Amino acid sequence: MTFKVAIRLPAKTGTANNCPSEKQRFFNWLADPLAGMATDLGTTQQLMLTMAAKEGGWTTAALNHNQPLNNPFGVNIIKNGRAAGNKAYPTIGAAIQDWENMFGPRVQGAISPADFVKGLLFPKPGQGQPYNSVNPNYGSQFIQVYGTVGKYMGRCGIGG
Amino acid sequence: MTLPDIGSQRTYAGEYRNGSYGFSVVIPHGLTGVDADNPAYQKGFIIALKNPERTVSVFADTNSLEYPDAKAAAAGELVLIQQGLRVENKQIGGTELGGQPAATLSFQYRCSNQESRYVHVEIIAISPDGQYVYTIAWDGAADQDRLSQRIITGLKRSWRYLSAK
Repeated sequence: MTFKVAIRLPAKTGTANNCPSEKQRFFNWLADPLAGMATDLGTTQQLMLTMAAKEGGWTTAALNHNQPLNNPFGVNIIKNGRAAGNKAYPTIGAAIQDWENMFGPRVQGAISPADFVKGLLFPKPGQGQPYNSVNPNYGSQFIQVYGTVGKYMGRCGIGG
Repeated sequence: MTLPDIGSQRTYAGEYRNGSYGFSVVIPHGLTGVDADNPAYQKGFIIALKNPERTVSVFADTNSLEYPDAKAAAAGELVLIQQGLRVENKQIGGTELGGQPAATLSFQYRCSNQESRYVHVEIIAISPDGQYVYTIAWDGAADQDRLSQRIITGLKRSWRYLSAK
């Protein structure tokens, strides 16, 4: 039997030096729940925060859009194969569970951004369709966002 | 560059509306847009052409790299592309898309182990609220760009911004 142990450092409630207000808002909203999600999936808090920044966005406009929907990953409503807005979840926990159900096995155990993206873009048999078929720069964009998330985690006092 | 194997597909023809990323466009008559059947996202499509070495793609994404304007987005995308591809004759210019300022990015490149030279032409725009990045892109043999002009002109003329929900 194995046990997963994670040390969760709480998001700060104040605004640290050099921490933009919208980034503080993003981390206040997501740092703790996505740390727990990362523990569930054996991945890292920074990778899950990157996923939220990449797909849901972390600008004021993006947060104004997705935070009331409890939708950190910007998951779409898809009707008849067409995107018809973003899903509204009852809780942030429901959004996390939904994402884990769809993509969790693909990123299980990924520690580096390269492994995380590889798991998403090139699913193993039985893990569903390729994550992205239209944006050839998805992987390099993800890795760049990962670096920026790390920079702001440091500035905003998130993580270890 | 070839059309990827995307398994189970969604297909589109005629008017395409995307209520999540806030845009609509008309796929030129006789052409079909395809996209992988991702359960969580529907960001755009690749137009299936007879020659699979030519691709046209139309898609939106969250502006997670926080580009302040279209030209900055084009410059940023070029940096990312150059991480994996040696490009020549690169140019960034200005245009408009749906009545908003947009940028053009074009360059030539060779795929590894191939003699043929390819051209990449891209129009990039940022949504009025800065939340999304939109791309219309074409890749194909460098000596066959009349088709690209016709398709891109048709897509560009029909482009509209919608309110994202």
